[in-house]
Amino acid sequence: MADARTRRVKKEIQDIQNDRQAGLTIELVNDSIFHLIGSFPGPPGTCYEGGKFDVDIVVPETYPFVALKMKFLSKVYHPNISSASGAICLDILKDNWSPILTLKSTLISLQSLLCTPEPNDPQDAEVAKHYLTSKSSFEETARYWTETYARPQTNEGRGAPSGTSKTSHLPTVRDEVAMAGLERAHVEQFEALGFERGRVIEVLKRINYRGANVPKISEDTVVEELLK
Amino acid sequence: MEISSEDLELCASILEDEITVVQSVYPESSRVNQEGLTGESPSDVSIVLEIPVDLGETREVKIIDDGTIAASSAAVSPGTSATNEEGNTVTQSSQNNITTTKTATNPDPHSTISHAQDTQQTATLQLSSLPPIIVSLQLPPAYPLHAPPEILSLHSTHAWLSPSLVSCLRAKVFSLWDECRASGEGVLWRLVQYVRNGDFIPELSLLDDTAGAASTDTTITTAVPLRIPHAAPQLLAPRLQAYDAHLASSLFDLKTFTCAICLSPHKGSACIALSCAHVFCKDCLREFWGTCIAEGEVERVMCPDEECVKGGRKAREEEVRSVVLDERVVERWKWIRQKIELEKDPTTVHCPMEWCQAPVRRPRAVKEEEEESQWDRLRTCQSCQYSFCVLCKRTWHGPLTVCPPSVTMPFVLEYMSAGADSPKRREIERRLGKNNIERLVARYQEEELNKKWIDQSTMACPGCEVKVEKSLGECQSVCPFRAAGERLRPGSPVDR
Repeated sequence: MADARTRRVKKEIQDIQNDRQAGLTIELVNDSIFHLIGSFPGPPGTCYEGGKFDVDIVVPETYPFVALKMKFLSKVYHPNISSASGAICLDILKDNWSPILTLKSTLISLQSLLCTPEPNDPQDAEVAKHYLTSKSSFEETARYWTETYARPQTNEGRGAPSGTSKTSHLPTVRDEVAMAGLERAHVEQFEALGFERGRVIEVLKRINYRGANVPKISEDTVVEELLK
Repeated sequence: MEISSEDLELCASILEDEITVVQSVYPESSRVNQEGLTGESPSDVSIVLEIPVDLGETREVKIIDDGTIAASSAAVSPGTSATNEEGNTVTQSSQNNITTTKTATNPDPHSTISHAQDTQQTATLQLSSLPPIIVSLQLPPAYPLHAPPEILSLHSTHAWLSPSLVSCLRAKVFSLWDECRASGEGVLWRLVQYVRNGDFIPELSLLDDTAGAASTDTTITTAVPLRIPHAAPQLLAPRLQAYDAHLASSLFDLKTFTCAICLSPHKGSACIALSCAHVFCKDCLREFWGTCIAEGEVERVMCPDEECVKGGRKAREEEVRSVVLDERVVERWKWIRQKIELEKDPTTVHCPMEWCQAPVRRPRAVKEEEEESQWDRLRTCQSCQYSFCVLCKRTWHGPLTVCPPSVTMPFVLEYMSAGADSPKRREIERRLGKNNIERLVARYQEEELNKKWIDQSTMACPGCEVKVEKSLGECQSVCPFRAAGERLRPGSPVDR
């Protein structure tokens, strides 16, 4: 069976390389066809447009009878993708996997996942909350993340947890706040009370201090959270 | 009429051409006796055409009783229709044809009798092809320009065309020949096309007019079912079905499919078409389903196509059987599936026997409003035959004996602590029966009240410890089991 797996994976890689139209790319890691890095362009007309998203792909022993193991290497701001680890919440990578799915069709599914977030079945709860509270603010943040982490032709942002060091040409202040999808005024307001910027961002992010939620959360509550 | 030798040569060349065409396009349809064709002197050429009827797509075919059996005592049975095949070779007129079949009826009286009794039978089938019509022609040297083909025989495999329709078709051969002759062509190619494409179907009025379709235009309307009159539909139906299935499977075996799992092409014989019409190679599907079954993920034993996965269409048993082959794996698949099915059912409890633990279903579907009898507590394990009470899980103690409160207490308390109409209550009700649990709750509450009353208004007799009601104040209470007059004193031993 092992050689059937090899044959199939080789064929799938070739299939992706032959089809330039879809804009997918695939590279081997350490010359093994069972550990790959695939990439696809952000779907046009979305806040991910213009980005090139890298995905780490591990082909399991019993492939194609069990799902490919995939996670994003590029940081993505999306309710179904962990902003920290890149883990993906997608039915076909879990229960709905079928052996007729291929590297290509799965990458295309990921691309379409970016078009159609499922905030009610989130992987990243904070991002999902942000999405549900204020879609326009969410989109702005997602666009910012795309610009910062998923720019094509650079390896920037690949797997890097901290955005600040890599994006030195952008003002650091703007960076951290925008990255969290928060209002600068809000952050500065609490910073003025003597709290550390990092701590303020962390807390405001956690309690989803955005858009329509802001009037609902009193300043005292925020300060209490900050003091915890 | 004198025919010049040039004419004969022309005829021979037309014939040669048309035989070449037919043989190259439908090699399986024609057998030619080449002698006449290659010989020096022009002689008769004989050709046998075996022309299958392609209905294009799956259509409804009704086989109706043509009433021949009911009409005459010397009825035509399918067995005798089959003898047509030989009978036709001798005689050519349709009149003779019938006579032959009638005489041939006699050697087969059994089938005639048994089927004469049930008249007016109709069989409806879904077919995409009909068995071949076999035409044996003798082509004289002057054919096709000056002489018609001579029909040595014309019959249908399994005799699905009734004798009268066969004679219609014979007449049609000549009219076709006439048409073709006008344009200087032979009739063979035209005839093969005519039968193969089913063009003869409307002309022999085989379309079901009752379906409301106009049969006046001779094109086949795909929606119109076919209507085949036959002496014995119940005998013909399985044969047509078998032929169709055989043809479909041999066509399938010859085709090449690209399996979506291994992405390699395979011959149809190594593949399986699932009931959803998706085709996979058996090796891949065996591997996939085998892995799923081995890991207990029977929910995934389904067609791997995306649509089917989304639709949750589970594989059928015959599909799993034909793919997996290993009987033990199939058994495991069935066993796990059954287990999951049973566990989904909230009325299922597990057999209390430690070594058994088989799921036991509620014996019959009881409507919740329906009065449940005390027998409703009885469960019998289908696997070890142990009969037990669903409430206390002990050996069945009859409908009247109540379960010991110590056993039923935990779930009665659990039931009572759950709010009214809570899912927990519904679940317990479904598992144990609504009335059963309500009876237990009533009894429990009564017990509790009783206990409370005993605590408040009785005390134990110091001598025998029987609780005695404090009716007239403590000093007045008298133990009925002790000698009259013995007083219960305050400060006597604590109640138990």
